[in-house]
Amino acid sequence: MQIKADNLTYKYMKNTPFEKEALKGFNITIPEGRFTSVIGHTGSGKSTFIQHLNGLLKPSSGTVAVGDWTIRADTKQKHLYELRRHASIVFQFPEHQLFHETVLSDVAYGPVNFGLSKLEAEKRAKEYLELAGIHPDMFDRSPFDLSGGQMRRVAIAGVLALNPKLLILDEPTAGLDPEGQVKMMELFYDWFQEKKERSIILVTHQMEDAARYSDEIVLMDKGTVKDQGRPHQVFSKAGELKAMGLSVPESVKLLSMLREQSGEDMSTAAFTLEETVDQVLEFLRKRGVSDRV
Amino acid sequence: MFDNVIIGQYVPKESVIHKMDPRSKLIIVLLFIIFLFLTRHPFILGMAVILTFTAFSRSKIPFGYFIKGMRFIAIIIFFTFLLHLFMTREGTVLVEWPLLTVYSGGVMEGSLIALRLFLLILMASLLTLTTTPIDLTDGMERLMKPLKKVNVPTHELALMMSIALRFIPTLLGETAKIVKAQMARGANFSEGSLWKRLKALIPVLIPLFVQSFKRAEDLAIAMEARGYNGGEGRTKFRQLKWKPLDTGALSLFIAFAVLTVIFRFLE
Repeated sequence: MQIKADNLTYKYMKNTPFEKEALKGFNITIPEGRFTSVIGHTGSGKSTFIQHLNGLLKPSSGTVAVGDWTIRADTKQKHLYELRRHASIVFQFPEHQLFHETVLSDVAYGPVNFGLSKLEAEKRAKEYLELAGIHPDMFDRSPFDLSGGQMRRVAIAGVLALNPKLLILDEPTAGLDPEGQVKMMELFYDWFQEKKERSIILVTHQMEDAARYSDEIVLMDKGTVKDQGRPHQVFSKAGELKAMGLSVPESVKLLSMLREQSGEDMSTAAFTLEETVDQVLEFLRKRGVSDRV
Repeated sequence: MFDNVIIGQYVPKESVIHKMDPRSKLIIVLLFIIFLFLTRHPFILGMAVILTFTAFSRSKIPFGYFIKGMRFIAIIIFFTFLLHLFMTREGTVLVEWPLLTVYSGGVMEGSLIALRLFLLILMASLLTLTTTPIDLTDGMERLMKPLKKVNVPTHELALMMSIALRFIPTLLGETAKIVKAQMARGANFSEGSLWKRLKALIPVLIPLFVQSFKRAEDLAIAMEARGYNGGEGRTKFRQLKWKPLDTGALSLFIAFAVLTVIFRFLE
């Protein structure tokens, strides 16, 4: 689903002494079928922005259009209920939303809400639990008996089972071990690639993830969108990012330093280990040491 | 959704009321509430209204903010008013319907109760709106100190209260977050029968309880790790200071209390 925000403004605790403008009226268009990462410092408005994308928050002024839905300040909840069938959010620490007696019924909760019969919902729940790497032995256990990592995967299966077109992820890998982080991101990426119309919006502090998986990166700062572009464009402005309290991926850091200290004109856009090695090799070849490598 | 809850909320401002000692504020609120319910005299009630509103305006807290937070309480006040309106059978008959008769005494009684409740809540909210939870519990602990002689665990009580107050905003934030997460999974809290709506709350309440127990455990461990072992021999970093302002304000309310008693005997 295409996303189009027009002068999007949001104020927390409107009309109270604690009023705070979290989104300061920006415009943005995110096309359908893309993997988009939203990066920005804590408090830049990332989480507030993404909650508008399935109508959990409504703009204080301005509009957000998601697919065929347009959300304004006075849009009714009933209208937004339909939207949530197609645009789902995985919140930070999604394991905090588990509540059912068994793993299976917790995952089936969402599909049942959106009108599937219990049998169909459980069938779909099983499918996504297995996709998320939960062994069938655990289906009838209480979600509260699982380990933290398993709980996270059950909660994510609960959102994937809604079969959304737009999946919004708010720091889904926070607090996982390195291997768990990679597995989790691969799970989302495989899901994304399965169908052409699927889109992902990922909010993350992991610049490596943003660079590696995204078609496009949206850079937010102080409640507005500062930059939008392909990863190599956004991450070529290391100075600007640093000024906003952000960093570039490690691989970009390495190549930038190499470029700076050697004076060689070379690309710094490499986001995987292979790409980085290729860039270094090319550098060595240019320097005439190719026979030794 | 929970933007307008003001229970336990502290609003930082630079005002006379904010600067008062929590002990004087506590005593004043207690005095005021007791004596407010002892009187029906219009002069005293008028005085109570003036005292309350003066105090509120001096606190620099926007009145609109308070009114918004009163929405739930307004319903309670309204129902109390209705109950008294229909249950009191005194004075002249004003309206006569087949099942309902409204007496003039009912109107009087209902308005009186509504006014009292409103003033009571205004004063009590003013206390929490202008006093940080820490100050509030420090004040209470100090005021309860005499009870320690009869083995009342005053320090522990004060600590429990401060923890409870401290976690109100946290719990509200947590609730809002879980509500959103379940809404994203198709939960619907605003449609259907009452039973359906109550049932829709289960997916919110269970995670909330689970989280609360976890948090309580973490807190206990964190306290023990830092060597907490009760109030024995514990000194205070923040010292409470009784200022002339407090003496003045308290005198004013003692005068109010005395007048209330005098007018009661005059009736």
